[in-house]
Amino acid sequence: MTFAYKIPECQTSPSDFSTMGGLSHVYFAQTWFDRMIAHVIAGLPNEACGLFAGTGEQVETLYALTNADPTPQSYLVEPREHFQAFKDSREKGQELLGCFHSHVRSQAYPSMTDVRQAAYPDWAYVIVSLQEEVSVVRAFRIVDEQIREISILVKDISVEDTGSHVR
Amino acid sequence: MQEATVAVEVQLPAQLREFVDGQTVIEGTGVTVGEVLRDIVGRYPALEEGLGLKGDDIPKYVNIYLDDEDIRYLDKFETSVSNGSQVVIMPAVAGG
Ligand SMILES: [Zn+2]
Repeated sequence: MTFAYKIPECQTSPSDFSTMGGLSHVYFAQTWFDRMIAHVIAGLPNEACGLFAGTGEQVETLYALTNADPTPQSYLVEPREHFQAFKDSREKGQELLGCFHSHVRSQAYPSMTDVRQAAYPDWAYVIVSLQEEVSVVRAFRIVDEQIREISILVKDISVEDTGSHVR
Repeated sequence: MQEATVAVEVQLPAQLREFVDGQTVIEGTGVTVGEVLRDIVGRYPALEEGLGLKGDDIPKYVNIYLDDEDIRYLDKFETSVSNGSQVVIMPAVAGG
């Protein structure tokens, strides 16, 4: 089952990354993107979360994981699943590229909590807002409490469907 | 049986490396995970705040793994280490 979503145009120009380095785009296969949306909708009324791995800017594995702090305004990727995803991605020659979580009643923009807790400056932080009927998805880098939006590209390519076994 | 003090490798996340002269893996000695970490923090005191290690509890937003298992599911900081054990520290992925 797939759900409707929209990805607003990224508001950051590439030059905003001149001092940050690292990812300025993130590419998803349609399969992974659909699975991410389905996972966060399944997590309602609470936030839901997961991780993704790949090489470069290409997401090659999506991990739909358990929210160990499940409320409508908090998430915590279950620590054992976090480690399993880390190990699994390394075994595949990939690395963790980022995480995703939902906002149940707010925009697809990092909250103060998100900014305070952002411990991975190289990662893409994908936020799926479920406050309206059509999900809105945006991605950000969060470096030294500074937020920069990055582009999301969804490609209709086939992927080896191996990501979810961690769960 | 007396448990022996052993040297254990501790893998640190990128953002804590500034506290340990840029190292990614650092060796600590002790009988338990807690002792190994105290040994390292003794040598690099700035790391204590970076890790958020204050009391006896594992900070909510720091995950500490011994040989692939979260020490919260073992004996927490009292978990025994053995020769060749590997400790991995990762900040939790969390927010709101
Ligand atoms: Zn959030």
